[in-house]
Amino acid sequence: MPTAWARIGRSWKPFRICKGKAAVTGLDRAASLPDGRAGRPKPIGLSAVFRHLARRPVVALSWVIVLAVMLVSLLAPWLAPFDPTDQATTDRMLPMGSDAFAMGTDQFGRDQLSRLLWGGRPLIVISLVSVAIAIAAGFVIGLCAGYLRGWIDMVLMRVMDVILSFPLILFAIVIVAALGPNLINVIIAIALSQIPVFARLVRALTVGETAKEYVLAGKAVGFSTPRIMLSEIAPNLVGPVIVQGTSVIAVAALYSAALSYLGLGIQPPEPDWGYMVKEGQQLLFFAPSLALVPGICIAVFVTAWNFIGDDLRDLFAAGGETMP
Amino acid sequence: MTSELIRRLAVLPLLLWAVVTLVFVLLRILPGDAATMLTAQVASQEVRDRIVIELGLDQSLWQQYLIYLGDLLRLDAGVSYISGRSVTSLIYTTLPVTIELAVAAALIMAALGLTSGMLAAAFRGSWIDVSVRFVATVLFSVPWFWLGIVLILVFSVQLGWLPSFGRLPPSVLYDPVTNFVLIDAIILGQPQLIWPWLQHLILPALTVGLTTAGFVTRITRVSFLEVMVEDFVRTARMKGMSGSRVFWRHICRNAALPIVTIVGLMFGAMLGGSVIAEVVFAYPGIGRMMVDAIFQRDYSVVQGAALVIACLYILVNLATDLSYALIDPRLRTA
Repeated sequence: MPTAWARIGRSWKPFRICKGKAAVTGLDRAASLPDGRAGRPKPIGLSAVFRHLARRPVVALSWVIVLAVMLVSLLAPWLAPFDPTDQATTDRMLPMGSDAFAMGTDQFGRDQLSRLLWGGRPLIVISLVSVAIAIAAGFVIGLCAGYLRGWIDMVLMRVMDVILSFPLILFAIVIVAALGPNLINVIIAIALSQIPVFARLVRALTVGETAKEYVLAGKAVGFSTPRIMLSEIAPNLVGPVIVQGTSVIAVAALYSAALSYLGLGIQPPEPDWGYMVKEGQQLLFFAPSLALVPGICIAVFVTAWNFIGDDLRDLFAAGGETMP
Repeated sequence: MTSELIRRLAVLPLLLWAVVTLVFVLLRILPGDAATMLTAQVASQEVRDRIVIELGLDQSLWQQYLIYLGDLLRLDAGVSYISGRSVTSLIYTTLPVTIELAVAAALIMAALGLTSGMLAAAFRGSWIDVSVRFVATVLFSVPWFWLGIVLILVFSVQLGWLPSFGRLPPSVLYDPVTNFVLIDAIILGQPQLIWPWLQHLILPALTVGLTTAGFVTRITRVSFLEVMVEDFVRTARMKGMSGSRVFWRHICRNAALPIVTIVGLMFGAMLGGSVIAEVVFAYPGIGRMMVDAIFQRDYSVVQGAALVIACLYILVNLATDLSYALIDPRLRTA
């Protein structure tokens, strides 16, 4: 069984990942190897993963939900019974359970089921791609700032501070307002707003790693600065950054939904869960499901990501909490 | 502490200047800038030229930037192209609305988040803990706008208890002085304003408060758990201190620091959340004004609103940092 180290009270104590439920929940955050105990952790086998998930049914369910939502959205062109933008003027506002339209139709006579199947695509693409971009950029910025220090550190981090002077959703709104609403610009806006989150994390981790002996050893052997940064330090940061990334995906998905709701996301008639809620809101008195169901889809998807992020953080104790 | 205060206050103008510049850069230099957007709507070349000159868009970017900075120093944020009113006066009427909403939401957030977080920490590992954590995670995963719609559906459509949009019913007419309804009601001696105002405030404030409370719950729980296992707590118990005294004197004061940080930081999420809530509930705050202005391409309004929200956020963060010293005497000597 793999063993990890957790900070319990003030001392570091070993605990077993597989049997360590009490230890893991003891402080809600276990930790990886502490200073001075650096060593390559053993890869955790597939069976250990399944045993872990069996003990945490909510997390297992979250993974199922996330994968299922992505799969269904990917297969939407084949699964959807109708074209999501097809307006059948004779079939407006049909209730749920109508013949041929299982989820009913909206005010333009479009099949709600098909729109729900298609509507998750922008959200998924935006949240995954924007977080990937934010991670990449944040990694470069944080690594440079944390390793090179000096004026580079100063300038980069002050720029991050300025971005963080905005409520991040407001920052994203302003950028989309400036660039114009479409898929690419929403991705850019959300990615830009999340870069400081990763830049700060990576910088803090880099500063910690730079103090360690292997970096000194690298310098002594005569490795070049880029080599030390990229092939010595960077691999040690990947884990925590990915853990943080899963939580940020949830935030990015919420931002994307909020931008769509405001009308700053995917433009109609393309189906999108956030915008479907907005359109449905006008018909709240007559057909509440038009607004409720797409919102439930967003909520379930985001909740699942949050549970996954929490679980990974419990296991690897990386990063801090992610601000919504 | 005073030196820290001075240092922070010295950085403040620099930070504000950086934010002003960033907003200017975002809205002027990026493709699809204000001028093109504005002039594209107007048919005649003559009018178009006049707009360009009126907005000073015929000058170089540097000149525009300097004029803009100079105007801001005189608290002149330009004129709304759509309504013809000055942006400063628009902000003066809408900002209090948002502050009311954010404060009400913050009260809900703190009350819910702190009590549930403390409950979960006290009953760690029990079903109370598990369910509080579950609900907290779900709450901050729910889209703000959707929660607002659910609340409208339940309390306005089904139960008919609360109004679903606006800030005051159209039947209530009064001349605002400060634009804070509560203060105006006291100044003008019109207590009949308060009840309809509260009725309209409850749902938007609940929307923002509930979605942010989940996060406070988690932080509260974790920081209490961390403090509860510290040595000084055991020592206090050992020397026979009563449970409630240990709790208030030792646990609470030490757990408060991260919690205050988060409540302060959450104010940002709250300002962002109130932008959304204002749109959902047609609540006439600064966020809704900004979103409307974006669609009307009224860029001086967007610019002014974004600036004001950012400044508010910076000031709240500053206040949060300074309040540490009040809570934690260890930081006072710094």
